[in-house]
Amino acid sequence: MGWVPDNVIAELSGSHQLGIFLRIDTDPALHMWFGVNDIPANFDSIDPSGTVYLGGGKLIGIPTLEVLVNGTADSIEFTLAGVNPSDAAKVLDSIPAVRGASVHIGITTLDQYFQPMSAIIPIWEGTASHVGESSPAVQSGQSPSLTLSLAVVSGEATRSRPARTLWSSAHQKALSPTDKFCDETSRLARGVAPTWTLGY
Amino acid sequence: MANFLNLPTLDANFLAPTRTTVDVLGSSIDGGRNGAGEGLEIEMSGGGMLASTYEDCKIQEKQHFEYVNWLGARFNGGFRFLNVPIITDWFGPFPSVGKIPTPSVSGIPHSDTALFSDGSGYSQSTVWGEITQAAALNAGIIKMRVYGLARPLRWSDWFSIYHTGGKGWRAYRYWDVLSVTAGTNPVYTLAISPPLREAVAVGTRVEFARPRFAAKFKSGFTLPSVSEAFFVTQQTIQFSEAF
Repeated sequence: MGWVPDNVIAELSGSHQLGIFLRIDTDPALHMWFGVNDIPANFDSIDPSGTVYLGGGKLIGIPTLEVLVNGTADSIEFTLAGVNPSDAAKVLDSIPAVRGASVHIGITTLDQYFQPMSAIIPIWEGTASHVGESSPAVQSGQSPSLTLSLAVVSGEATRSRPARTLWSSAHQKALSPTDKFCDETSRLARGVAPTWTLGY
Repeated sequence: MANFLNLPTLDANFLAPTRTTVDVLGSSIDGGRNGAGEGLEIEMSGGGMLASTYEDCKIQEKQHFEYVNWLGARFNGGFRFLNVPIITDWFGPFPSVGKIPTPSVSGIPHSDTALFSDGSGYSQSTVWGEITQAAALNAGIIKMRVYGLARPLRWSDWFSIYHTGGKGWRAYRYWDVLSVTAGTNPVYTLAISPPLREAVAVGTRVEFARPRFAAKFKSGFTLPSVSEAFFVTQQTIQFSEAF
């Protein structure tokens, strides 16, 4: 069995029901998914005992997820449009502590009877950065909508950057005079694919 | 948390719509298309939500106007809720009385055959069910014993359950009969759609007569107060399931 269980892969190969789950590790954690109904589900090892994911229904817009490649990844925004008061309250309640919380996105398929076919398969992880809210004014006759958004970054793109130094070859040689392991680090820059040699 | 208990129920008979629709709306995204333009459907709503339309309600008497005004006053904006009945009188599994399918009988007297002082009696539905096995939130299969059926449950019927935990009335329909016991009041195992909105306990009543669901005005819909020459008008009201 791979990362995605075989029965889920078999289901994904035809027309199917897909569940997309969002978990924000605030205290208490926010669990939401893309269906209409609330659903009991769990991420393995993250929610081991299972929990109930709130039906975000047609609220959530999911952005394209990117993973960190060569040091580049997007900061993405999850949006909740047309939020009803109870969901908005839940989201707003978690705002103070949202910064730095880990955000997981996972999927699983639902069977004929709307039951998740596996534990939620985590496919993306990010770190929550900041929230935004917008409700543009509309002309009469149109319905306004409230949009909450949460910017989430993947990789190391947070503003709260840790102090970091380039571990240069000189540093390494100060400790181990004959070690050439870091000889290529100066070539590590965006857009360069270094060849990992032994430095000979 | 929004509470869907103790909501007023839309008076379907009084409004006399010429046509009602009820539907389960899902949302799906496209999984790419082949040469024939057909694609894989990826359903994302996990069962969908109910929507209903009452078309061309006859607004004629003064009381109709009052009632419609109340509907607009109370439910415009879609943040207050009401129960919307699904009119299944004709095709539900109900016995016929005088060739007319009868979801509920009224005028039932006391044991000494006396009626209430205003001439009315008790009323009760002719067909109802009772959950025989507890089912969890989002369950897609329920077991229930059904009383008073005039025909077996076979293709699909609407029914509703009152969820006392806060979800209120929710309507479901079955899309498959998984098993059924023999006998006068059979126990059905039904695959339902949409899935249960709230867990149900053994003994929960299942209502077949005029199933109903907690609803709000559909997003973007408002019900204006209309006065037309000769004071006869028709109005269409749109609902969607309340969450």
